[in-house]
Amino acid sequence: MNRLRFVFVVVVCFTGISNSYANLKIRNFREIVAGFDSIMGPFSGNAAAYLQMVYLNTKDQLPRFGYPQEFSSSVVLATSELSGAYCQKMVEREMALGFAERTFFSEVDFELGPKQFSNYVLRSILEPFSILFWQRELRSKEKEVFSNIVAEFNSDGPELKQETVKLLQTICTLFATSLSHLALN
Amino acid sequence: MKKIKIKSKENKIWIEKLQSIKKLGHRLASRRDFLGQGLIAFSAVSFFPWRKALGGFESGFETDPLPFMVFDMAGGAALPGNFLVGKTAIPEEGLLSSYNTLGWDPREAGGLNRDFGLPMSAKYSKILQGILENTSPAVRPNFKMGSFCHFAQDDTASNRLNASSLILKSGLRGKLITNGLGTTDSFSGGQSSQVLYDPNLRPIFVRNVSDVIRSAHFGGSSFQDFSESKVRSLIQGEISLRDQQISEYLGGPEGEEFENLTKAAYGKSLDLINSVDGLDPRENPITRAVYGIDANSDPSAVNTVVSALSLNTINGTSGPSVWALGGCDYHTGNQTEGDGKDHEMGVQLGRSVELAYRLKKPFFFQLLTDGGVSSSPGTRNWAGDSGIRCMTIIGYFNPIAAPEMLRQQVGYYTDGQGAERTTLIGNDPALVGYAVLANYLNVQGRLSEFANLAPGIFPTATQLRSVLLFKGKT
Repeated sequence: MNRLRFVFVVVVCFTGISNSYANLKIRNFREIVAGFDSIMGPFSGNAAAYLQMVYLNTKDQLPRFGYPQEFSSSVVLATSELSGAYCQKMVEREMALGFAERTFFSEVDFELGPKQFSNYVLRSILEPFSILFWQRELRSKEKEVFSNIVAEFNSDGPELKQETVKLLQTICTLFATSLSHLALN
Repeated sequence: MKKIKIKSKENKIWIEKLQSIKKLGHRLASRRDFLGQGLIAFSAVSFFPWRKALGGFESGFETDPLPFMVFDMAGGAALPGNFLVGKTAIPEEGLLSSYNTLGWDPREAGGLNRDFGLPMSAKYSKILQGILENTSPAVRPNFKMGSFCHFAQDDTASNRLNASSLILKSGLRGKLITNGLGTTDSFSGGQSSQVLYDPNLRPIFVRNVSDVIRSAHFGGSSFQDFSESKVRSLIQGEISLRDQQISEYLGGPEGEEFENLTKAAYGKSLDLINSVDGLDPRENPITRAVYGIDANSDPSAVNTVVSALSLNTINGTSGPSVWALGGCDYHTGNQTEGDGKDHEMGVQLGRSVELAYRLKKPFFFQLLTDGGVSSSPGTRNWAGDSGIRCMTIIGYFNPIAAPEMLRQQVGYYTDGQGAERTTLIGNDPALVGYAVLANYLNVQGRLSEFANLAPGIFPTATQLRSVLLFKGKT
């Protein structure tokens, strides 16, 4: 009996070690949209109808089962389009609110262009997004990516309030399409 | 749950959101083994530039892989009711004693059309009628078809007949739509399964022309107001974040695979920044003429969708594409429905070949079905399913020279009017798929690659040569 138990434990442990990577999966189409709804929602009215339409247009390209092998350029394209739509509607909703009423962009002045995105303003956006999308804190190398995006928006111009909207949409989309959000370990 | 240090005022909001996300992101129990077949083999070709030493079809214009499509008659169509079957490699030389449950009699005077290699029923084949109606006379000498006689299960997705995954593996990757397009939401893109199961070889499911266009353009409607430079910034940001975060998912040989998959997936977006012209068949004058469509044609109509698949596959924008025609399980007791479906398929086959001719491109296709049907004796009234009355057709159009055929038929039918199952390919649909690959490679002068692409399949030279229908390119 002891020998049997020993063999059983060895087999289980060995299986556990050799299959440790088998725990990796990616979000399937339902999990992706549910995640976006949870983080950025709720939406109603025309925004909800628009997002539903984008979802229906893209869901066939999203991972169906959540197998890592399904990760393809189609998935990236579809997720970019879907998250871009969610982010766009979320930004528009925040724009319509006063500073104190906003959830994500309480430090952003929608009347100003991208030059307002100082380190402080950027951090005020990135840190909560990091927790919501990645369930961890932002790393310094990751922050550099976003800082570079801001710098590119600033150098590209023009300094218009519409560019602030696009920058926020870009930042949000980057979180939503990242591996740390799409892959589940 | 990991403890996160958050500044006090935002605590409640983030933690509430986090808790709700945790519920939704809760991992499901016992995922199936995703370490499917072909991962290692796939990794060898997935990042191999399709233009390089895998070779290609030298059309005399430039070296490109030979465009390939699958036409799937879902349900078990009466292919032997359209194409001649016999007891020998040249079926006419070994006619069956009777064809009374195959829906026609090839011995009838004027019963055979020999225009396309393997004879077809001149009087009764609606597939032939569709092809003739939609191909110009100049096309026909350079277009030939041959058959594989085999058993397949009826009206099921389980026959591993679809060779598109093998063709992908051989190097036919679309310039923009890498994996190709399919009109059925399945791993093969059609009803019958792929020979090679690998989710990463799955074609993009499309229901209309807009899906085709979207599959080759980054961002769709969500970023239509963005300048090219800003879209590029976004894509490069995605790539940079991926590079930062991939280390969390590395581990074992599968980790390297995932790393390669994600690198290719994110990197591909850089090719798709600008919307690409030429994907919409309704804007192409040649496709308009061949398919009878215009700018106002319904983007979700079958004819328009097939025209999009054909155009993008033949011009190399897309990898191998699959069109599935449903409702081919037409044993309704009469021939009317069967004739309708056969004609519909013939029309699309003819149009695809005609399009290839007008675009001056070569074209190779596989026509398959899951099983077959038998007729009431002496009639063409399809009465019931019959898996032994199955066959697969391959067609080859070469704009430069008429294809030469080594034989018209691989395998054979018996006097029992069913496929002989003891032949090399007679009992296993997957082997038919591999035989399609062998022929596809052979006409490009690439048969030497078969052993690497299909290890252990047709291992002897004799076996491999025995499944070839067309003479190889020298």
